[in-house]
Amino acid sequence: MTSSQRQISIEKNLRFFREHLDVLIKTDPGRYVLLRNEEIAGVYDTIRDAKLTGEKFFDDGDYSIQQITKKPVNLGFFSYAGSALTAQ
Amino acid sequence: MPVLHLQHNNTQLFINVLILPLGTPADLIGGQTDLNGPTKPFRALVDTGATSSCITTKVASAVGLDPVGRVSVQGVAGVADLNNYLFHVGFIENVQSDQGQTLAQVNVLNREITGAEVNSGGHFDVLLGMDVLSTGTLIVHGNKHFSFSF
Repeated sequence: MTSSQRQISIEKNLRFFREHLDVLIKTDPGRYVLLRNEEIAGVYDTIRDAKLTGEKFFDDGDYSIQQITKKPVNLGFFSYAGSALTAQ
Repeated sequence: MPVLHLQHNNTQLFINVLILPLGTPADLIGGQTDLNGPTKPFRALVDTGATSSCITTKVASAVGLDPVGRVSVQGVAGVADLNNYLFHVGFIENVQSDQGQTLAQVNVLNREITGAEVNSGGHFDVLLGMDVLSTGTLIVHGNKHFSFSF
């Protein structure tokens, strides 16, 4: 799968994840959800476990992982430096 | 416990680090190795105000990392969704061999790190946040030296 196809897949999975976040955060706050084709493939305690499971079962690389949280990361001073958040 | 003794410029702290993919051999993790092979060090800014570490697009590309998902990052204009990566961080330490030579050894942190992909404007390659720093002890001295042990 190309990097652009992967990016599209990640965005679709993210949209699906956001639609279900209110429910997930009640049942599995802080855990990591493995997503494939806009479906939940599993929920794991660590991102490593989710990643290893994704690699094991989806060798085409078409999966993504989201942490079940609504709290954004804060990059400290750099968050407020203006150009920080312009990467893809 | 590895101890890095480094110098600062009275304004910011920088450390040379290696960013390694998740598939790094298990015997390297939490251990030590000579610095060789295709890996190259990146310039990392130490930021105790950051809850999480991050890497630039250049680093993700150079290491060959694929994003594992997206992460929400707080910024001055609100929250942005950025690519999120999973990797190991290795710290480079100069050690003396039995023959008196100075060798560069890599001490790999004993846990995986997740980091957003950001544009640093060339200021740094990696930002080391509290997810990394809280694994050890960071001491800043007034004589332009600092140390990090983990």
